[in-house]
Amino acid sequence: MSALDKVLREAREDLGVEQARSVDWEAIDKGLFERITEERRVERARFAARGFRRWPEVALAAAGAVVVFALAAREGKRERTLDVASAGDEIAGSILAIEGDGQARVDGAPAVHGLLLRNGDVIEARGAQVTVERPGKLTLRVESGSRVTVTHTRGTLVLALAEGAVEAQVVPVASGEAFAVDVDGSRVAVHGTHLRVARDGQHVSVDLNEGVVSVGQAPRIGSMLGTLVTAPGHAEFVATNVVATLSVTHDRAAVRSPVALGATSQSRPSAIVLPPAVVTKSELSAPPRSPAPSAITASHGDAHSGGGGVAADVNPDHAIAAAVRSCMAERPRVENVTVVVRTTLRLELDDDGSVRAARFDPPVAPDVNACAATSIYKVRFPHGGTEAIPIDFEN
Amino acid sequence: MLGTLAELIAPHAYPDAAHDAGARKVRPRMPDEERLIARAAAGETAAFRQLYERHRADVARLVYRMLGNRSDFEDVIQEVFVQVYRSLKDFRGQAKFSTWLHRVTVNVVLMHRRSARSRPVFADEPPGDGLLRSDDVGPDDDAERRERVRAFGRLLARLADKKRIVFVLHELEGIAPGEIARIVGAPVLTVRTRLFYARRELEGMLREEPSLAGIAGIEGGFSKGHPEEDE
Repeated sequence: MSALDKVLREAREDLGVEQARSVDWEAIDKGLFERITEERRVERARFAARGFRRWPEVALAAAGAVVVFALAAREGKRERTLDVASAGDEIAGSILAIEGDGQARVDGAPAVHGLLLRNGDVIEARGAQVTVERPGKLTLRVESGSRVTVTHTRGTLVLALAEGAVEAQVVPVASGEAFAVDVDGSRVAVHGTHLRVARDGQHVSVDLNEGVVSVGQAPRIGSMLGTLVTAPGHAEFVATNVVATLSVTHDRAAVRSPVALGATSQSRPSAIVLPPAVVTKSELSAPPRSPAPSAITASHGDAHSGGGGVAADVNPDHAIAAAVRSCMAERPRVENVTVVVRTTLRLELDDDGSVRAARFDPPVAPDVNACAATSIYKVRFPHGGTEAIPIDFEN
Repeated sequence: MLGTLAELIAPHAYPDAAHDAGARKVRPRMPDEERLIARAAAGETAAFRQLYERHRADVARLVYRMLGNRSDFEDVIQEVFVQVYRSLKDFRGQAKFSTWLHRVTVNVVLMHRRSARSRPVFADEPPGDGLLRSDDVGPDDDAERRERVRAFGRLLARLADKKRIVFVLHELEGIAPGEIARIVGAPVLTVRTRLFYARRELEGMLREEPSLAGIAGIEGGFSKGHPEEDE
């Protein structure tokens, strides 16, 4: 036995054992449970405040739903909408996951799964990464060591990146910007893409794996006129002088590999639950009344490296869910009204994995059916049988 | 599926620990632990308290072994359990609870070390003076052994964080490299390499430590192969 092994043998039995026994547990207990009690108090107060802030929305949602149903009944339409209208601030998204053993905070309070984010919220990730979903629009990850502030939620979601990095998968939009990241007066605006924006002091780097972004000075209002960067692309600039310092390379080796930011379907109670109505294949195959996701992808032309929007996603469930959300997002909406849909798409699959029949349970509006059909039947699963894809959407 | 820290102390993967198994007590498996964790995660304070009381001594020992004798030792223990409370709702049971608890403890210790670097350090124990305190009065053998262990603790504290943590987890806590890899989030080969170099550094330090020089001189032979040959 070596000298080290001999000492180790004694250390295994003794080192820290006596110290652990002589710990002042009373003092630790007191401090620990005082802190826990205080954290619970803050958490309860925070949720209570959020619940209170949502009351006007809930009331308006109920009123809106009544109006929708009254009109539908008077016009004798079979169609019933799942859309729930509510007014107020648009929600930036909700926390989908917190990974890591560190801390994630929103406005200084511990972040929790499902927490709704609003304009002005500050998200801090220390030793943990926070995944946020804006249903139908984007999934983003605030990386560990990052601090971001939600600065705009209506239409375009804008985050101000104070430190660290944000990675996002953004569903393409036909016009305008779905998402933007501001860094000290500069902006990276996104139409639909997978990108990562990181800052180290004033130095900003952008990795673009799909789609196209505009990089330039953040405008006071409206869309940004900047330099278009297409995928694959790696851009770098100094935040305070983006115009003069922007450099772009399309060398794939320089572009950081994307992390999977799969859109997921976390259950959220819907205000109105309707009985399911079967939608036949012929209904789903009707000509789309609004642009289908594939059409949106095509409109961006070669900017999208992945080819067809749906086919590019390797997970058929995610691909279909993203396509359906895209269709829902295309529906005309009234300003100051939030639409929330919760449904499950039930698929019957042939042995070769192709989709034989599909129905939404509960049903969705016919134009969404028609739009979704153009994507659903293009997807092939690695198996036959049936598939249920939960879809949550908020706009 | 769920184990306790004490279960982990049972020898798994390396022969030295197996020889020492008799010296350590293996806590019996607690079938209610999974339920207890679920209740604590749901916010039940009484369940969290039970969990805390069950594991606090193991956490304290581990913190001491990783951090050494410091005035803020008890603050770190408290911080570990605050983090456990905050994160328990994210514990999905994919890993053993003990593995997860080790991971939380290691992270808190590392965070503490990082933040402590920017603050003045008040040493609680003079390094290498070889003096015994008055409460060490007892049989000579016991006093010598205590001093050896204390001196070894000081050597351990001189190792870099990454090496010390894997060394403590493997050599003192008896955790297999594969599980350590999950705890520290590094490949198994990296863990083995850190163990190898930690061991080599300690052997070198051992020769220079007055309280341990005797052992080093008498015993000689610092033989343990490279990680590749190790197991």
